Amino acid sequence: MKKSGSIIFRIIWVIILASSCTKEIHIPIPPIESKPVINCFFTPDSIFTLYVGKPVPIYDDEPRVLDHANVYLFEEQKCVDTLRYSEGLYFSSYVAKAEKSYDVKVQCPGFDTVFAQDMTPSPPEKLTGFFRDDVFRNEDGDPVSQVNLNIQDDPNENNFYELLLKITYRDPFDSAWHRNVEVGYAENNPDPVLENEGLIPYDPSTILFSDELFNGTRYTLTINYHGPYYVNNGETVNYSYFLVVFFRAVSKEYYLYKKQLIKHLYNQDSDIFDGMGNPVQMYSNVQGGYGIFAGYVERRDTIPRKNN
Amino acid sequence: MFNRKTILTGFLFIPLWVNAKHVTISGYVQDAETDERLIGANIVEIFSRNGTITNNYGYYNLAVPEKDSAKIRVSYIGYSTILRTISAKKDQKIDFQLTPGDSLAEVTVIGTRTRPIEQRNEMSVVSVPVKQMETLPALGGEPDLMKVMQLMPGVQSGNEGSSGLYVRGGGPDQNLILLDDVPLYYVNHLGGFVSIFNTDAISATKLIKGGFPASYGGRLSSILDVRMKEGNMKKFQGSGMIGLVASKVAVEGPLKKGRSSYLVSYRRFLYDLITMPISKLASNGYGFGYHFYDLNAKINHKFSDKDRLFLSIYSGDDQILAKMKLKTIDDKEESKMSNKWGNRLLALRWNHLYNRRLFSNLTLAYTRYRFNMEYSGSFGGKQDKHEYYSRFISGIYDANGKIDFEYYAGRNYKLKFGANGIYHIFRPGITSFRQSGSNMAPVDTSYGSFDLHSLEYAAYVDNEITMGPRLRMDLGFRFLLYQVEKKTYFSPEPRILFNYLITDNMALKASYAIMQQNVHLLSGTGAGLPVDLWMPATSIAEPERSCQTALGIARSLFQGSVEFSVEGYYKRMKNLIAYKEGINSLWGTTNWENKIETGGMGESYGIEFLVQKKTGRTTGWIGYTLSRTTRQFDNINFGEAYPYKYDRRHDISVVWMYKLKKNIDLSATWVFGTGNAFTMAEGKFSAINDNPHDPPPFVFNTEAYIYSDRNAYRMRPYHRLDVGVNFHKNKKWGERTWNISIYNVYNRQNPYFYFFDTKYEYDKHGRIIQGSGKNVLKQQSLFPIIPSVSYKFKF
Repeated sequence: MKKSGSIIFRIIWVIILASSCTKEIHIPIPPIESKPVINCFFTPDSIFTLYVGKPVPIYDDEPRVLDHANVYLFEEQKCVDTLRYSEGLYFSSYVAKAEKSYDVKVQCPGFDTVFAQDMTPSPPEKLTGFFRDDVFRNEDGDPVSQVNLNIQDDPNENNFYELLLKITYRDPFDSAWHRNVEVGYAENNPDPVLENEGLIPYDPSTILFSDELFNGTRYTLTINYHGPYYVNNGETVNYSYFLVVFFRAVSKEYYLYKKQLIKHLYNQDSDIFDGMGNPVQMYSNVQGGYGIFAGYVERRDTIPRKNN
Repeated sequence: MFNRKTILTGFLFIPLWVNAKHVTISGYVQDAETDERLIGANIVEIFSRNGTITNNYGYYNLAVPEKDSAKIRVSYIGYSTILRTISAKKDQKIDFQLTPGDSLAEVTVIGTRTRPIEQRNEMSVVSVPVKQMETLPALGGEPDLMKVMQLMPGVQSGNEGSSGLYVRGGGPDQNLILLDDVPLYYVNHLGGFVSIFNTDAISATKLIKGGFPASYGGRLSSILDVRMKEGNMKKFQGSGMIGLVASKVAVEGPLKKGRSSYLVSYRRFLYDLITMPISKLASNGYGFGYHFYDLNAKINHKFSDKDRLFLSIYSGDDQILAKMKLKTIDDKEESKMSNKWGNRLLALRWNHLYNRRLFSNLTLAYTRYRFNMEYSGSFGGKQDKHEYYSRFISGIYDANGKIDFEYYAGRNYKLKFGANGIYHIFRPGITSFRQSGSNMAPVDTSYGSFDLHSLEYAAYVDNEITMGPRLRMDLGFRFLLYQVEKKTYFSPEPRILFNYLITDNMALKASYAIMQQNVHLLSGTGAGLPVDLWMPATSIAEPERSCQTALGIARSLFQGSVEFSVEGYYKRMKNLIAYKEGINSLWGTTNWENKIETGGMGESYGIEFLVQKKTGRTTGWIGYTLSRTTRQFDNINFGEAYPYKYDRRHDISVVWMYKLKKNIDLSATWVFGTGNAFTMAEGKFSAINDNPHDPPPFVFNTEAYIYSDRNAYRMRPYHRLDVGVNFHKNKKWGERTWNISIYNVYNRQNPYFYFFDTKYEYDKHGRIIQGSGKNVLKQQSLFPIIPSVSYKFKF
């Protein structure tokens, strides 16, 4: 309903905008500080894949990849590998291990040497729970599905998590399989943990949260989402589908970066409806540079349906 | 030695001396044709030069030297001046009736103006007569009070076309907007391009930017005091207008001649009457429309010379409506969506004159702002009909009681005191949902944030003191008590104003005021669905406070026909709120306190110049403001202070009105302002944004921006020229006026917002050259040149 009102108001605005105009302008911008950019998410049993680049002025589109850097990898402060460059990325031959600390040092001519450090977190426990369809109707009258996930949190440390709901279903009309389709999250998500994170309004593609409100306990996370359905003779009928949860334990650095990134991307665009937005600076754990070097551990669990 | 108690008592109740050698005359000043009481009319005794102005109910009390005769001059803008000799041997009651006169007559009639600025015991106050507002050019031909106020120094407009007032670095929520003594919360229509004030129903307005009298409180930055017309006590009359933005009609007249009168005024945006049927035809049963309306009504009854009762009503809404109706042989489907938001106000006021010296006004009022969205419908045949209904409602509901007294102790002293209590109910947002039908379980549920209740009590005393021929003071004190969630906040608020006549026509003015605000406003930052969500101050988002000091010089020139003033001000604000980084609006109002930054500080200082020509064939003003406004929050901009979005270093407005002939008047306004502050993306880099289940190697093509410091850049300057002409003609049935206005005459493309776009190069076949895309900054403008015409009539 909110959306419907907004859409009509937007139509009025579009009429106004049709009589207005845009023009290209140029605002002189001082040179940006040239600092290396490092991007890497690493996970146990995988090699390190690292991007090294540089920032460019907002108006320019010059190449960004730095292909002549020396990239050193450290495990528990011991150098274990030097990454090799290939097709825009740097690759290690060394495989990350669980619950280990890693450092990366990047030297590139013309730039200061930069460092970053993080670790691979403890693997998450298996998720249990169930999902239900058509739990309630939202303001537009659409059915909303709900999944309840039991999370066992480790009391000995602050933990951070990320999860993604994907469904696989067979279309009853054309019998085609649709695999690993991401679901949309409902605007109304009353779970206190999700409320506390405050990320749902930014249309995130994943659910990111910390154990701040349930440290060391078994917590049931409730997520409202839009499952697939069709309308038959005026009745909504949910498809039969499998729900798979991709569940990550992530490091604090990963969590801080992703959380900021979700807000950053949401606010990049200006438009008449949201004005100039509310710009958000990016988070970085790269000393002397931009980007992120962070670890995670992923598992996937299939969640059963519980009939209403 | 004085102890603290003595000093406080002395401060609150200055010794009530009455000069035995003076007598007082008192009464009302009224419009001779309608009996409408005139607010702020000027009454001066010529020989002694003692003077006063009428209060908000047209009452005055003037002390004159006791002697055989006194010569009284009564004047008011737009009316012929009265000069009357009276006996001054004893106290007496005299009501004055002023006859409306056209402004040309003002050239020849001496003193057809307000009291000279240097003699007025006020500072940082601006007032524009309604007649002048109706003369000025307006967007779509609709005269707008708020837009006229934006032309005054120290008042900014925010975004293009907006009716919001940003006074001396404050936000639009920091203005106390009073309609007949009662606060209104939402004052915009059409997304902010039109205010709710219909000039047909308004008699007087006053904007106070600083030096606040103790009788006002509850907001940090300004008081906009709007008074509705009372209605003609003598004869039936009406007026109307057909314009591009809205059309309106107003009627007024006596219910009982000389005793009671009424006024009813209605204004409506009419386009939905066209869009609804056309869209239904064009889109197979789906119709939509938008409109707004304002209904003002007032009844006043004079029980006796000492008692008068006023009943004021205002109701206004914006509404978006969409309907769908489809019918087949077997099935029928209907749906309706309605969004409504607006105010309702009901105020009952009782004026009582106890004796010539003591006047009181009691106000009992109810006001409500609510945002309501409803969605309902049904589908299916007779056997399997389904129905559903959903509603979201958010709002603020106030019950308000207020008593104000004015005691005229004598020539040198006037005491005002009173008390006010407001019971607020805040409804952050509740959704109800119902559905029923065959083959399904019925649903009836509600969810959302619970109502919040708060109480606000205030008591004040205001001493207006004249010391000698040159010094006037206004020493006031307001004490505020605010209760919410079992917590109580006290706010002692001293209010001080000095007016010292340096020469006969020049005064030095200074003021100091502390203000507290117990409500917060959370609204979207752009021009999306215009939802204002009012929230109470709580222990997390504490009451906002401000402290403002102002110093200025005011003088009259050319026998008072020109007024000149310079004012410098410094204002500090604390406990401000702002959206957390990245949040633009507050959809879903649960846990709203988690979505805002609290404890913010604000600082604003500047200097304002105003030259105003008030009489003659040519009238108008030139205003200039040089100012700086910042905000500081611990979690924004790394804790560093940053420019407020509407910080405007330079702001100029030129207003020109010219009476070309008796039946033609011309007008023009030109505004210039430093561009709004914004945060610019200065650089960009590739970022990683993989999702769970994305296999390595990850995707690195997400573009992240490197932003400047908060609001470190400026948009291009804003400037615009509007012109208008009014053609008046007397007809057998009354008078008609054609108004032609041109908004943005030289079609300046003013910036509304900036955005990045990709610009490509094309080959000779018109195809994009691969890799040629380049990031460019673009400016979106809103209003080009817009001519408009309106037709007004009076009978």
